[in-house]
Amino acid sequence: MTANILGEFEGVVKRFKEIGALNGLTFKIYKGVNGLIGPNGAGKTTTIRLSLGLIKPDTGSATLLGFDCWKQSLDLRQRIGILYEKPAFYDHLSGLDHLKLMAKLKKLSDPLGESKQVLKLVDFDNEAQYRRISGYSAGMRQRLGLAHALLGQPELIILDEPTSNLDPLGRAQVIELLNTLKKRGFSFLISSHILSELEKVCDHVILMNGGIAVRQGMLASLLSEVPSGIFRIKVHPNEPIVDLLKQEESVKSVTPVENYLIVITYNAHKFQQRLPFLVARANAFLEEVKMEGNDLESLFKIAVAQGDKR
Amino acid sequence: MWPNNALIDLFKAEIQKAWSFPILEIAVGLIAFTTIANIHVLLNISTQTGLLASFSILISDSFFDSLYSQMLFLSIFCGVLVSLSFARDYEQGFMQTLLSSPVSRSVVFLVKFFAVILPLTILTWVMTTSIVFLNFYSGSSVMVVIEKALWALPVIFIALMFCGGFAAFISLSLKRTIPSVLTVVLAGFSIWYISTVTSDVVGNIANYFILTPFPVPLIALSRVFGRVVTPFISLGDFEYVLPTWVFWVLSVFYALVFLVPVYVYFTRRFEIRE
Ligand SMILES: Nc1ncnc2c1ncn2[C@@H]1O[C@H](COP(=O)(O)OP(=O)(O)OP(=O)(O)O)[C@@H](O)[C@H]1O
Ligand SMILES: [Mg+2]
Repeated sequence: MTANILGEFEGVVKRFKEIGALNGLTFKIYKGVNGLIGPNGAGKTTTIRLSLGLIKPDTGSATLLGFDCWKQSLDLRQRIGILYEKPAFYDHLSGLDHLKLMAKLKKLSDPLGESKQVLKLVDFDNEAQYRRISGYSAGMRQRLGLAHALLGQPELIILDEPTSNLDPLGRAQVIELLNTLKKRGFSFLISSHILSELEKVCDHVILMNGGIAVRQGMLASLLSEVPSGIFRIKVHPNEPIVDLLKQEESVKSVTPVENYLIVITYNAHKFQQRLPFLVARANAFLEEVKMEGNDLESLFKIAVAQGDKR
Repeated sequence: MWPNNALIDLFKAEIQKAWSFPILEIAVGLIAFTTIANIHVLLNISTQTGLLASFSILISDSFFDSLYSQMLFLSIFCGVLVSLSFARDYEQGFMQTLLSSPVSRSVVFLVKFFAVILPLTILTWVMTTSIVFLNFYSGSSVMVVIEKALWALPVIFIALMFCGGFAAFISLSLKRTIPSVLTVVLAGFSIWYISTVTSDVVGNIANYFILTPFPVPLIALSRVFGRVVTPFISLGDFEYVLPTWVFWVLSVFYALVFLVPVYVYFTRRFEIRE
């Protein structure tokens, strides 16, 4: 198994003034597609910046491909591909010229050939590649950024929200592309909160919340562990019913996540019977009840709920 | 390490970016304006007195004066360009792209800094040297022309290193374009104001200690060439008392005083946080 490990974070802590962005983050990255999943502010972007040596960890160690992320960052950057949330380029150059420059900086043997090759991969081999980047749409920039990340067949490709800015068609294309590249032996670390998409490509997932990894493992085995009898309800107002639910004997735990309540029950049937009565007693309005299934979204919500309880 | 092809391309891309429209146009216009304004004043004086010969003398004497009078806007302009290059790139996320590419931080810093400083030095030098050639046409000796043209280059370079280093320091600390540009403009204006307009004790103290990156290399050069340049900023007795090496040391000091700390900070500790 160790041969398959591409990277390891050990108790990484990073504080920005008072705010702890990472609070003892520990996880491993394996060959294949790794999903870094977490709500807004979980610390995904911070983790990625730290991987590229743009941020120095306060304590803990972060290594990728056997290199220390901060101290040996230059060696690491030679072997890694990266796409940030908001990709930035030399806007006065054309897409192709920018890639060619980046390919030269990566010391590739055939900068022009390899640039054209990655442009073709991301479906960007039209005349737009000869136009100045300043005139590109957000989607075109995203595609160009993706092409940049693939340049030079990196040993690990890190993508921060690769499908943001793309229309549904573009998203599907990117997911398909990732699947193709995965079969060719590329490895990825992908951060996203569009879980239905990640589900289609990830082998291994790391669930992050509040700057720590709350769950991690093979996607298939994590999904099979999702317990039944977990409900997601949306009630307005929220507060009074929480106390009532906590007193119910069929209820194990109640956790607010975003504007939902995640309710873990002992007895799903009993809970469903009691719920309308409780809502009425709390003088509240029930907007939505959903039993969680075994998909990544449920796994994510439950993990966040359990993470909060610890 | 001899710069390879890729680094030259990177440098070229940075220069194109830093000098894209309308920056180059503004720079040429402003330098031309101040240069011509200076010549114009001199021409007026010499024709009014009816002595064309005095034109030659006036120009010869005032070459470095004219360059100095440009330092107000040059230092500010230089500072603004450096601030744009560092702070705006940080804000727009391009610094993140550069620092994530397989190029060392030293290279990124030096490429960005000199993509502003070198073209600006050359531009200023070419345009102010045109005064020297007017000087030549009005009957001065070839040696004087060449000597002055040669002196101008390092003097401009050191002064711009000083201003640019200051601007890099400000913009990498503030990490915001508009506050950095404003700070640099205000600082440039106050330095000029204190060292040239006020002639009282404050002005002199300012000159002695921090505000003379321009005359100091000039004096150092004039000592080596065995000529005495009339200082347009009064350095008082210091100019005559201090030995030559002090002026060399001071020149290096001015060039590096901000640059070295900000370089060390950028290569060792700088973080991308947004
Ligand atoms: N420069 C900064 N100064 C202060 N706090 C910061 C800074 N950058 C990030 N943080 C904090 O660190 C935490 C993690 O931020 P990060 O950007 O890594 O989250 P994220 O998981 O990428 O979120 P998103 O899904 O919104 O992109 C947040 O709570 C954020 O407020
Ligand atoms: Mg993010």
